[in-house]
Amino acid sequence: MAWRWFHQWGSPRWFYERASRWQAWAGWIAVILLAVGTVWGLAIAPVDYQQGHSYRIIYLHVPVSFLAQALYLAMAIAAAVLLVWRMKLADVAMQSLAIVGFAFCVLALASGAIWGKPTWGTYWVWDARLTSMLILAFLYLGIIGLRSAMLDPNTAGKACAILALVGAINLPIIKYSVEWWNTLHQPASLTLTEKPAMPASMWVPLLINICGYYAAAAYLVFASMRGLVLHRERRAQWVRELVGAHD
Amino acid sequence: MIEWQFESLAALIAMAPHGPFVWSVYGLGALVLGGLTWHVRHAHQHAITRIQRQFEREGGHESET
Repeated sequence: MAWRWFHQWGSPRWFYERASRWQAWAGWIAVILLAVGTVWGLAIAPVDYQQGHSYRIIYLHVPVSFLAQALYLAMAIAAAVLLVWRMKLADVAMQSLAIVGFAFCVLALASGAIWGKPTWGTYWVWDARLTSMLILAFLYLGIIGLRSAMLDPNTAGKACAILALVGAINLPIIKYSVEWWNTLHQPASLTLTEKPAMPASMWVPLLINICGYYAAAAYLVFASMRGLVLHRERRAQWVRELVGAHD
Repeated sequence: MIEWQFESLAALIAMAPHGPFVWSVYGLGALVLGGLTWHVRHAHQHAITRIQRQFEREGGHESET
């Protein structure tokens, strides 16, 4: 049963048809959660006694930082699937995850830099967390660049998969950088194992926004993958029938 | 019970003294999310248009050729 489920992912047509529904659901969930979480975080959550209103940047910075790492992890898993099972859809997933992940990583770096100015008095310091996140952005950029530089899509997919897997070593470095080194960056605001240090009126909207940004990323990745699947399968009969139906 | 933290819209926008930092982050976020949404939707539509054009160049359905 489990293997049958796994083999379904080998069919671009099966994915394309189902992803249309997943994409719509993810999009609406994202819109609702982000509207609630952002309004709550910006206007209803209490002000921080140390940082003032600047702490409200947390409701964007933390979710996009989580996602920049989670999307890279997803890309590394897709890379392993591509190398082991040679699944075409895994290559498409890598391509989409790289673009969305890079955008979230740049947003995490930019929002962190802007938050740093009122909090630390500077936009940038070369501390372990910031530097390892910058390396993550370069890894994303390297994977996007490598793919566009190679003409053969199969060779490009394999090369990107190897780079994605090697670069995954950076993920535990990012996560534990605030513990291994003496950094200016604060430890994680929310963890699965510990009670949050802030009151519920502050962390509930953060949790809502984390879920909202995850849904937004799912929407973007599914939408991007559907476009790439159509392009790659353009000679397949099911694509011709589908596109004919769009006339 | 919802308790608004700002007495007016002007106070919300000002977020004294951190308004420019907070709003620039959220503006950037809206720009990135909006840009990505436009990009993926445009790429999907572009793929459909390209295949339709290719289809037309080939003179319709394969069975007719």
